[in-house]
Amino acid sequence: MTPAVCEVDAASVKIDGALLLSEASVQVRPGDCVAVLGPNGAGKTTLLRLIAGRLRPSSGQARFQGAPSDERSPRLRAALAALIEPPALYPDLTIADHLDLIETLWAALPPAAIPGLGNDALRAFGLAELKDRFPDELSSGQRQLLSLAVTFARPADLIVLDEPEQRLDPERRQLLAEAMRAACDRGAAVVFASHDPELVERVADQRVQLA
Amino acid sequence: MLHGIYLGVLIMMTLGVAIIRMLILSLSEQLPSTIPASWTMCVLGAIALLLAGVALAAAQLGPACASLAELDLIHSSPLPRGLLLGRSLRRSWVLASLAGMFFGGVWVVARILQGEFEPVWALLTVVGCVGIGISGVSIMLIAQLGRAHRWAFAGALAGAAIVCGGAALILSGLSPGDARFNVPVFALIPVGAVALAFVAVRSVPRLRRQPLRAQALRWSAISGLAYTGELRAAVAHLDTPVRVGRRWRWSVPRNQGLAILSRDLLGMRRTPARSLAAISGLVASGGLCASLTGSGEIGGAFPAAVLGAALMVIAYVSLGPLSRGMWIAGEYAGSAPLLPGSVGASLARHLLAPAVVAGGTMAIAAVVTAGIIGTNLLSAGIASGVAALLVCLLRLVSAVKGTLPMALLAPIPTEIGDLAAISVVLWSLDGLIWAVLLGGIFATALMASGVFTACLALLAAAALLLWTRRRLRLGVESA
Repeated sequence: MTPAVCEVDAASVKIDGALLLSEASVQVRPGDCVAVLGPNGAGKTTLLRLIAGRLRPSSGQARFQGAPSDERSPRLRAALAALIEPPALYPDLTIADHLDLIETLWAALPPAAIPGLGNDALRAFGLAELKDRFPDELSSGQRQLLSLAVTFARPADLIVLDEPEQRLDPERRQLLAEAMRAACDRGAAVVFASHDPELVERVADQRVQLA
Repeated sequence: MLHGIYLGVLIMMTLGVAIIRMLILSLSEQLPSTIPASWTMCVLGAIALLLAGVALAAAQLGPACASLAELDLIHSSPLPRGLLLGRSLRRSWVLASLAGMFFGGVWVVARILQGEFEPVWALLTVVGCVGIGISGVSIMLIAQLGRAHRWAFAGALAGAAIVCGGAALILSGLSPGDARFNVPVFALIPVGAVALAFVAVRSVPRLRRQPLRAQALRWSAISGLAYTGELRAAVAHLDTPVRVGRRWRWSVPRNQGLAILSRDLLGMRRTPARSLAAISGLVASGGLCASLTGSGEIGGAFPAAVLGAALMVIAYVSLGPLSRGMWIAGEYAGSAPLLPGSVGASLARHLLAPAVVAGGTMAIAAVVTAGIIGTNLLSAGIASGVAALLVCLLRLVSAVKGTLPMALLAPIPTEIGDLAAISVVLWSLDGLIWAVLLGGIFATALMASGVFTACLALLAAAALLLWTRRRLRLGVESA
């Protein structure tokens, strides 16, 4: 059996007495597409932050490729692409510049290199016509597409997305679903929190329901 | 309110009086007894440049301003706009007049200490300075009408500055110095100010509501962010959006260090006005640094420390627009990176472009200034390089500062009121405060010995780097 990319084992998160996530477990293998479901406040984002190593569990364990998840670990940073909050975009670079920069710098690292990821992301999210725009010239939906494009433009073993469908119209949600499936077909695992049953139905092969 | 006045008076008495006294004494020592006409033209040229800057600044904030609520609820009524904006206009004109009166007064007192007191000349100087203040507000008000007005003013005033510069060159060759020349020139300023104020008042009804609303929105966001200690985000609201070079094709180098250096330089080229302003500030800092290396002529440790603080603050502020990449890398430390490598490595790469530009610009400016004023070129170059390094490290520390700790918002009750606001202000302005302290120490050490300065600078640099490393190690929030 292929070893898990990440594993959350009976992990809970409590901050200053407030329970942000009650005990949750999930195991994600390469190529898996896992949907995290639950009402507002159930702890979906907290679970994603645990997986991404930005929070330590109060109890239980969160492990990435066998080691405790910690965003300070270079190995985790090299293997994880996440869209949990808006990414760091340079206001003085155009969309094309961003994707060129990401693609060139990741391509220079041989084990992870996948040629053409930047251009693929540009086309996959329908941004080709907007490539000469600066980030502040985009509508909120287009900005979300750019955030998704820069997340998918870098090579990753695990992609973590928090409500990636937000602000997207049905046509763009279709593009998102295709990009998620393509990433899984390449062997990457995708974990995403969502309130869109249609997207979940279309791409998820495993579901984690939080109460 | 009373607490604010109390603090203001306290700061004025402890710091303000000492600085004003030093300003007056150094002016009275340095000024020649007869001011040559060429100097007057130089001063007029500088004033014209200042007013050109003021005209462009009207794009961000003009004297005609009102709150969002006033604009939405009252300005939509048929009441005359002049009446509605009258209070803010009167306040701006009064403040500008007081500022003019202050600077004119300093100049006149310095001349009196020199034994050069002529009542007519003193009166003309003060009235002239008040006129400059009033003109500044009037120009800003007219410039609020739109971009064309702003650039027309900026262009005309820049042209006037060039003419003044040319006239200064000619007069320095022809005139040995005649103070009588200055009297009619300064007498013209109040006349011009009255004419400008007249035009400005007539332009008020032509102001559009939408730009006034955008200005009110921007300043409401800025003040909100400043209150919560997000000074950098507040300042970012003043940035004009980047619109230059969208079709420039950029070939990204494969080496990470070169790629980030190239990115930062591309960013500087795409924001030419900001970069030019930053480089002008760095040139001024380099010049001040060179004058410090000849600090035997400055007249004591305190003036040197003030000069050092000024040079470091100017360089720190100027470096802001050049270190945007570093700011973004620090701001998003802890989130999944778009680019390979650790946050520390990314910050180090983003430090390269500002360090190269600041170090190069300040060193060249210092060496040129040292050549002009006749101090040691090598000392000036090295001192400015050290100053540039310290300022870059201060920017690095500022980039990884993070958000305002909640503990600072806890009330600090005292007999004179809640002092929590002071902690927030100190936290928000820590970069500037460190720049003042480092600048003061740097200048004082420079007066003592070069080796001592180098040792102190090394210690400061090590401390700043260690602090940055500690901040980066606290990456993960612990639950």
